[in-house]
Amino acid sequence: MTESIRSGADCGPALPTAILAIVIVIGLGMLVVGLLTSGGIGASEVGPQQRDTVLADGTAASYVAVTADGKLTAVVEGKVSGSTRLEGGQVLSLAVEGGHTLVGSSNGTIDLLDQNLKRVASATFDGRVVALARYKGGWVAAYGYGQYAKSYEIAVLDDQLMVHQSWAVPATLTALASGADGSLFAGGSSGQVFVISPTGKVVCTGFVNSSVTTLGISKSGTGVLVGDGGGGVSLVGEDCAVSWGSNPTASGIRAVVSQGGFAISGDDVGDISVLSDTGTVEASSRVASSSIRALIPNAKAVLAIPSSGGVMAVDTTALGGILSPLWVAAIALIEVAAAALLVWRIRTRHPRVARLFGRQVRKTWRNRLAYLFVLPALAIIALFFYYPVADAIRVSFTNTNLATGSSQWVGLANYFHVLIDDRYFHRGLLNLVVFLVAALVKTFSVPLLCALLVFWLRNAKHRAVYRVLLVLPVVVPDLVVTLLWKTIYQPEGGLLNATLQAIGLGNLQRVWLGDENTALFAVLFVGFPFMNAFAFLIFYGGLLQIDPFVFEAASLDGVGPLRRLVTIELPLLRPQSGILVFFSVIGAIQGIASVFVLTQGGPNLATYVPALEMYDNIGQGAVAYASTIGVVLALIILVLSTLVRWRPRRSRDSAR
Amino acid sequence: MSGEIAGRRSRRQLTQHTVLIAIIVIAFIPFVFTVLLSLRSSSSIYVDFFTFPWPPSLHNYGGAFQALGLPILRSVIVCASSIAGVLLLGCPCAYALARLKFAGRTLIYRAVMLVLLVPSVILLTPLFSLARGLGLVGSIWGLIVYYIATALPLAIFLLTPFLAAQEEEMFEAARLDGAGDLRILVRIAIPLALPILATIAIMTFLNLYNDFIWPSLVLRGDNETAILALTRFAPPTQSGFSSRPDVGLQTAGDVIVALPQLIVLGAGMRFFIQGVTAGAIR
Repeated sequence: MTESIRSGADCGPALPTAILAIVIVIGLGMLVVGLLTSGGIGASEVGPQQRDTVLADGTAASYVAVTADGKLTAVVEGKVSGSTRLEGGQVLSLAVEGGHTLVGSSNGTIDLLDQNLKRVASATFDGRVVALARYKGGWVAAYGYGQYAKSYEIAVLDDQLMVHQSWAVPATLTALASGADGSLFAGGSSGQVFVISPTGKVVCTGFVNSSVTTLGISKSGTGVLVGDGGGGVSLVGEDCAVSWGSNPTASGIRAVVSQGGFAISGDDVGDISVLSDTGTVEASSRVASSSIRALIPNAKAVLAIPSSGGVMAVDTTALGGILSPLWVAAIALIEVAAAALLVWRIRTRHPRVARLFGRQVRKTWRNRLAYLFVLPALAIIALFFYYPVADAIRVSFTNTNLATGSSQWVGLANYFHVLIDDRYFHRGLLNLVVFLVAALVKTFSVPLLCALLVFWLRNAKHRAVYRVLLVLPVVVPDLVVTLLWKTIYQPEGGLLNATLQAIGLGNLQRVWLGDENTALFAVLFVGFPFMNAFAFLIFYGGLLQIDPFVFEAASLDGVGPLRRLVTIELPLLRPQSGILVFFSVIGAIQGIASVFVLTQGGPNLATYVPALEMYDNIGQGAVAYASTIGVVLALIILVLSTLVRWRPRRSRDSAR
Repeated sequence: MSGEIAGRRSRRQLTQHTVLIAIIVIAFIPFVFTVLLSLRSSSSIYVDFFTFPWPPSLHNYGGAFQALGLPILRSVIVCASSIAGVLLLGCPCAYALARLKFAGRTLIYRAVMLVLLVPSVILLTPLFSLARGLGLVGSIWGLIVYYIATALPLAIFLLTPFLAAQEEEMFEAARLDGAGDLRILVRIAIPLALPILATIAIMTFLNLYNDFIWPSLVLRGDNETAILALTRFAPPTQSGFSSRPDVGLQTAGDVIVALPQLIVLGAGMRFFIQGVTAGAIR
């Protein structure tokens, strides 16, 4: 844009060009923001103010709400059309359909009221009537005693409240829902979801993570939406399989409905969440300052009835983004037109800019093969390295769990937990220090010794033979070596105990990997005599690079092997040592395969390491905590490797 | 005087030989015992551990092959296709970074090299979520895609400096003859780089064939890799001692799972030693 202004001074007025460019930039910005952001939930107050509402049911055009003092209010088209008060017990359940209102109470009565809230029938049942629903032209009720009863009853009633059938369900029931096709679902206080056949048999039982608080028939698929006391919403199919589970909030879900392909839930603190038909939380926001008591679907909006305050209409049509598709299309059209106009203007009014730009485009086009060569690899590296690092850091600040579907921002909670409370992690860190030291000792003992011994052999043929023999074990996969050692440690049929027995030291026999006192040692001893081919070859290669004159001079001075090691070889092998320290540190922190295969961290945490805890957490779906451990371990590696890299530089400075 | 020095020297050489031979013998004991045990029936092992397997029985190998043959084949296929993928993506990229001039080249090269400093421990969890999101969990594609991606930076890191160090004349001559970059890559750069490509292929094979953690997270039951199947391979002894694991069968399994790596490294030991000695993994 500055180019266009500068060149505009000699080629023509720049203002229209600049305006066009600004229009394009703003339009693009609007498009990006509009397409990427999902809009908040629009809620507007539409109904009368109420206090202490406990239940509501019906349609948006006509519904009935019950308050805590037992008062029923009928609302038609947003206006109160009548009210009545029921005597007796506390109202626990409510179902409104076809102009009829059914109310169940804590003392076992069920009252049937007409449009004007006049009682037309009443019946008494044995227990608290906890749930009611319309069912096959009549009604269905769930009742029973107490919160922890072994079984509750479900009764099918006709229009006159005559009991047709009743069955026992082995659970404390909390909710009922029935589909238009005659399917019947019941929810239990231990998270059970029962699918009940028309003959009253429990066909199957599904489970959600917390006590079922509400059920809603899914309209986009067969099954039932389940809201639970832990803030979870799940879709359970007619085969009881949980299609998806999601945790849109942390508070108990009070109501859940299916609307236009979305599942909408309301919770105890006034949050409303919109979930897609695959369980992804599309939007979530607080629309009321008190518990959402009911959600009533409507053509375009969903009525949310809070415990206190006005009834809200929650708009779900604008959820795709702030911009509606029509706006997106309009802006896109304007963009294309403006771009065409801009190109035309630059070509006619600013030929120098056009030339410059054209040259750049041609240059890029001429190098297209180079970009084509680089881009696939670059794209894969971005997706499998850059994105995961960012994702790990982001997820470590949440409580994301693949098993429960939760994914909320929790700040530094995971880090506090891992660094302060997690005693497994702390025990793992202690073991890790042991593993680290052992890895360094292993790298700098036998491989270095062998490299020196081979290097100082006089016969070139001998050197070549030993080099191959020392590297040869690398043909056996590391994990096979680990498994060989597991066999060696076997209490019976293992080489170690068999040897001890044979040489008369049978009393030293142990269950080496199963004994808390020997397990860590046994794991560290795997691979003895620690002839690491990599380290050997790197040391050997380093020795080959040392100038022979240095050794000649030392030999003329009568320097013995030990002094030569300390004064010449070790200092000159510093770069190689640095690399090997780096690899040892990384290997000790990340290499959990052998521990996993040998002991799985046991017995009693004797060989537990932090990376193993991360692995276990991934397996359980606790990816937030696993990411946190990953980030902490990565930081430890980065700090240690920076320390390693600093040392040679410092020594070079002091040498000067 | 000089004879005394020579004597001390030859004594020192003798010590060197003795220590080296001792280390090599100790290092080989587990392997030797494994092969010996694999040639015996487990009941005879439990009766008398230290007996020479005579006559040797290949019975265990039949059983081990039945259980592990398919996973070994699967592992070899996974390794081969991953290595092919790495070379297919890595060669053009390294060639472009080493020999072509284009805007953003240095930046891209640095972006690739920076990745080598990322500890893989931080990647495991998000990559598992990513594999789940891409629907790769449960299939060997979850392994192949992951292996290609994670082995790619090292391949580019090894190959780019090698190609950059070649003489420009050769490439210029080809260009004057009218060869395009694709032709130069296939006809000149890749043949030149064959030794280093062999080193890359062997290193990649070592890393992938030995991998345990990722397959154990991504694969489910029926499509195990060789290493994964071997760790879960714990058959009970058939006749007598039935409460104890069949050591003979297990050790035969160890041997056949080691075979592919033995063949690959046996054939390419030269490239492996050259590569590592020359500081290729630096």
